Amino acid sequence: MKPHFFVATLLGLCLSRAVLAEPLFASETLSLNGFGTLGGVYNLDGGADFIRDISQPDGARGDGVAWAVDSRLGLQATWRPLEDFESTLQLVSKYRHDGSYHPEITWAFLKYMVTPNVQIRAGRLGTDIYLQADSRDIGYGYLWVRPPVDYFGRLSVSYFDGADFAVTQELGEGILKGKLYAGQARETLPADGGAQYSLDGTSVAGGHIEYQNLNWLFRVSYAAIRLENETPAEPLLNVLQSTGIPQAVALAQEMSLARKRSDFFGAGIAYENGPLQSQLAISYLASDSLMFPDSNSGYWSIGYRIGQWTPYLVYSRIKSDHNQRATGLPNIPPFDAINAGVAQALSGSRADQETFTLGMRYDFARNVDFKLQLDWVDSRVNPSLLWRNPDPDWDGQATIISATLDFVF
Amino acid sequence: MAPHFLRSNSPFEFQAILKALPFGRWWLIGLWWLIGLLPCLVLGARADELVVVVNPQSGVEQLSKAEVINIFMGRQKKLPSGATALAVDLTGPNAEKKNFYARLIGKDLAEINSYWARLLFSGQGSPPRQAETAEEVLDIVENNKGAIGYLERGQASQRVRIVHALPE
Repeated sequence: MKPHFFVATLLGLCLSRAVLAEPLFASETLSLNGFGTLGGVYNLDGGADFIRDISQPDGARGDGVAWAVDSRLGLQATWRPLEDFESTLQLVSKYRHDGSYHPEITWAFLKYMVTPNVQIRAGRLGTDIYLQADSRDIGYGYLWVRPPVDYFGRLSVSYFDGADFAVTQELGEGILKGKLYAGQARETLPADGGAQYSLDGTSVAGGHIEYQNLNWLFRVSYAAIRLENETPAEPLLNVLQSTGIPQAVALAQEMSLARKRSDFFGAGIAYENGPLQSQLAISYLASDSLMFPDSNSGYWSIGYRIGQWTPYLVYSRIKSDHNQRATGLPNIPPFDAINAGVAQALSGSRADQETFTLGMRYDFARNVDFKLQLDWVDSRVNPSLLWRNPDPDWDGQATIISATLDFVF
Repeated sequence: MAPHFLRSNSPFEFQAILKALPFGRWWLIGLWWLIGLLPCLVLGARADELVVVVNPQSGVEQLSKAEVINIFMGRQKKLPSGATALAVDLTGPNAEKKNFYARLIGKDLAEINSYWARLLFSGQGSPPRQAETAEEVLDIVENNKGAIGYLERGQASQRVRIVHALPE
């Protein structure tokens, strides 16, 4: 009897220990985290407003330090009552289309892990069109002051309401991952003359395949965006249509944004080896509307950490297709005003520029970094999709100095 | 400025001796270097090998470096045996944690934190569970089938299984 009693006591002790260990994790079911960036941007050239992306109505112009371009604050609550179930809510306050810092819900989803390798999320999700496109607000998460504007600046949909589905599979020494998503966009973008463009009703669908091993990450992605609403230049399109001239009517149709589709194709490679990190990404946008012309863009970034310092270099480039079209209307009053209006509307949606970036990230304390960055931008078009309020005689060149303090908690 | 006992009024006339020696100054600098390096050499020799440990019931006998990386970086959420992985990290910053990531993937803790910030705030996952001490790591690994942690070799107990070693 005695040995049995001994074994039973031991077993009981082991079991109670296992049970006691459980609440350790249960108490970790709710977590609160945050991230933020305090950043100042100075544009040495006064010809146009430098913006981070097309959600910003104005930016750094050279009349003082612009704090709005990069500064932001985010809060996130994650509730994980079970091992395979999670719920996340994220609020971000940043400078937005209406010139306010009104916080927006950027993430709000339920996640269910069907197996450790298969997960489904539903709710509000970040748009993962390109590598790191869904973490553009988290300055502490990347090397640069901001994601390269030539590549990410044009992305309009940063989140959508819908679902995504991801599967991972071990392959060799790495992990192969596939992801599909679909949903509806909700954001609002600023447009010329204080107008706004609502993405309400815009549908988003896409996916990517990614392979990551010790040093390399490869991703190919595709996304389709179908805009719901008409361009703020709609009155102009109505005038074109009302002329009854076939070429003008056809142009109005080509310029329309409502129910037009854009296809995004992206490919990215990242290489990391100890203190070295490098990324190369390219994308092609094929659009059905002249107001959002086809374009190619890409960037290459390289950084090397020396102690707490990481100097980096970036080259980025975007070039949109020529989108000017003749209206077929004679250039005499009253038609010359229509021709000028069309030319202006189309030229404002182009982008053709390259940027050389030199910067340094300094990780001086736990979960805080300081970055200093210099950008030399050369825009070959004026006006441009990526600049606000340009002077008509601006030569398209600008030198931008930025400093940020990024933190997470 | 030379320390006070090296000044010319010192009974040993250090400065005069140093001046007399060929490359006098450099002898002194070399001496300072040696004194400075000594504790580093002693500590360096004492620095223990780090080992990755799992629960003996996990069904895992050995893990490759790539498998350890995939689990600790949140890319693989299960052990090769199929159990859901519960990675246990040490709360930073401390020497074991710094050495673990330096030896595993050559990354600094700031880079690891940056990586997790990107994943955490894009809903892709949370960093490993943080344990305060090596004893807590042991306790969690001993009591959870899917748990995986790291320790100095000397700290590993009989109730955990070593599946990967990270020598200096």
